[in-house]
Amino acid sequence: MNRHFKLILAVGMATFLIGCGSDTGSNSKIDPQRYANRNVDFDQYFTEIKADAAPAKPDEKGFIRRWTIIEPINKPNSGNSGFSDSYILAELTKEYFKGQFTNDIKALPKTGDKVIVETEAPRASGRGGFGGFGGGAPAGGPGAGQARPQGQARPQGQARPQGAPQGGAPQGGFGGFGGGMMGGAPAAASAPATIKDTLEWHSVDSKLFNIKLIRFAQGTSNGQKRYGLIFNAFTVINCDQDIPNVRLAAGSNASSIWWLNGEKILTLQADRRMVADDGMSKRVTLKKGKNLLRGAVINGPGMSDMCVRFYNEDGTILKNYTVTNN
Amino acid sequence: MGLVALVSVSMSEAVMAQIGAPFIHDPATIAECDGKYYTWGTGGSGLVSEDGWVWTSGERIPNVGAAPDMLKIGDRYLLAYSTTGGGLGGGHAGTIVTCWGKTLDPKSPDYGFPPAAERTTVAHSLTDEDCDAIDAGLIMTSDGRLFVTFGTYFGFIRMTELDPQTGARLDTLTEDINIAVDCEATTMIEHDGWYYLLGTHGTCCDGVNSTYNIICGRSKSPTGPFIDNVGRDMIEGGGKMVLGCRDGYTGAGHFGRTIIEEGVEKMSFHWEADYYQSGRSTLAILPIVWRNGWPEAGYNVKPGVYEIESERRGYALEIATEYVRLGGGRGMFGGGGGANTVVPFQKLEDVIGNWPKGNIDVRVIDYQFRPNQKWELVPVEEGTLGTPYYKILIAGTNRALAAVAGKELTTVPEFTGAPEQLWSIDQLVDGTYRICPKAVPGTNEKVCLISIGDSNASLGKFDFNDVNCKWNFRQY
Repeated sequence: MNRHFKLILAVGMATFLIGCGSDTGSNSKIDPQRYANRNVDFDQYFTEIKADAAPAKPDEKGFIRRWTIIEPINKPNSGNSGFSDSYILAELTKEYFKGQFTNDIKALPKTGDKVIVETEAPRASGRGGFGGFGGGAPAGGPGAGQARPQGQARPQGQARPQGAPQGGAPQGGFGGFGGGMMGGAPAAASAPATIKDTLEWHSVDSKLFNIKLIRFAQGTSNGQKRYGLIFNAFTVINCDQDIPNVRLAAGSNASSIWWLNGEKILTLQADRRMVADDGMSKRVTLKKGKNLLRGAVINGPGMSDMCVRFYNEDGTILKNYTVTNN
Repeated sequence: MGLVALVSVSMSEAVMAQIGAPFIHDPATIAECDGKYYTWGTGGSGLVSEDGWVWTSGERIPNVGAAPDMLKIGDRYLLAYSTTGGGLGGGHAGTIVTCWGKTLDPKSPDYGFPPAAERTTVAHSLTDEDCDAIDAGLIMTSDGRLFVTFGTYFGFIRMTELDPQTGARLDTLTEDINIAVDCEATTMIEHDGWYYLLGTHGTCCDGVNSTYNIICGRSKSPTGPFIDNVGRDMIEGGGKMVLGCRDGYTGAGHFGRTIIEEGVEKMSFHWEADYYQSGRSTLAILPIVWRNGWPEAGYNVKPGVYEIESERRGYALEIATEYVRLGGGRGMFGGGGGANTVVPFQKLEDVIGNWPKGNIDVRVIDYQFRPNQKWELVPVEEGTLGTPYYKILIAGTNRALAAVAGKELTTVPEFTGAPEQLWSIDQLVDGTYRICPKAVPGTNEKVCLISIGDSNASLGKFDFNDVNCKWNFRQY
């Protein structure tokens, strides 16, 4: 987005807000997430922070916005339907580099650290799709009449069926275009090609309550990485005293596993969208001092993001701690 | 025996869904025009129905992309749709388009929608941004404002306001409003001072493995924020379930609401897979029930034997036959000692021989699970919007509940299929049911089964606020 358009957007939004009147409610603080921002640059989502950045607090709703994330590992999956418990456990606990799962806080990587990993080579995304509808564009409007390029499917790996399915009675139902696009385990039938990939750790503060992993991937790969990825992230929870009986609440798109001080405390399996408080852990204790919270998220095609916070046993949101990247 | 039972169950389940050829994906809100019902799905494929229960393939609207919606405004029909189908592996450029039609009847000389180039783009998404502009949903609010919602799993659901006269984007708007995240097939409805945003979560287009489900949040403002039943903003992924799946039907998605009259509301949607029809995606219409301020999918009455209970008193509808006392039982204080035994239930064959052979009146009285109080509901292959007509028989007989001239009731000894012997049964928004005859001899007045006093029944005008018009179906 160029500066000229940004200015137009800012003026336009202000005009709109004035025009909306009571629709904006009584909040004097305008939430930028409430209005369309068509800029997907990295800096719209994240602020990179230094290794010795001052501690941060969870946001007003308790969401943890400070994370240290390594550039994503290629794991090409053309659909998310195979994200079973066993699959994600295998894939999200696979060690790609030494120290990937260290529980030694003193040995945690710092922003800017790099590792070289051997990963599957990216594959062309998507498996077809319909290539647009209807022939002929309506008049006006950006993007009008752009047929969806070949090789793109719906977020869940499927294009929509057009009209009534045809006859016949296959076992298991027709599905979108008659099955095939969603089915089966994601694992490739034959050994995939591999590449050496240099990945860098980035400590960031998210500008949104959720961590838009897809934008992290794009922004740290010059747009080369979007789909078919595994994300590894950690943050350090600093407590002034032991806080027993808290629960980790997480949402992720798609599957994820979460560890606190080395203990796996939450798994979100299957093809799923990010929902705040989608899954909650059993009661855990945040100990006095530093606690290592680690998460791994896998996604095939479509949006990928995550959001994380802690709850007290009584259902209130835990906020009396700080988060750091070390 | 096992096979017979299985087939019996399958048939009874299957008949409880829309019949004919209701195959569609992403159906637009049901639109009525000149006594017929219409909807369109992705790609513009159409369905039409004479009665709202039996659906057949209808006219396709040319040049319609994904997931259209239809809204009647004044004497015109506003169509909204997206030109693309949702991208995944790359671009998410999309446009939301509107256009008007004068009629939905393809045989009318006024039928037709303007060519694609003359339709109006009202919203868009770029190739890469946190939105994919598909799945338009329209609402005209009670104060006359027109909004369209759109978007899919790729980022935000957005809305913008349209001009109700032209269907074009309001000139005063510069940017769309984000109202939810990571869902699709959204639309808004208004109820009791709240605006509800409905969307679809879960996995689409995966046949019997689809997990599509309809969720909602609500707001006092049409522009949100929309909050779910646990206080979670839909922009954080929140949403209370309206409907997921039911035995034999999976993946509810693409909600549309039709208000028939006060207290009678229907939701149209599609099942991703109908197990009874080869797992195809089918149109479905169910009652809407409002519970604690939230919409839920209600239930059409399944075939079976029921007590028909008045909401007024809680008494049961029965045929007016001689009361036959049962022997046995220890009566008050439990009687003497000894082992417990089962008291024989009164059976139909114990009493039917003494019933009159001709018409028998109905009345309402304490339920004692006697044969003259047990009614068998059997759907037939015609109906009204979202529900079949039923024959209502005394269980084990062919004796049928019937409307008679003068807007009164009787039971006839043999069901003949006459319209006065067919009954539509609509679940109301409070969960009770309305029971209406298809026809009443001697009048065209629309009436329903009503309580008169605690102990009698008749036919009268439906009033949702009148407890006498409401009934429940009980199985024990």
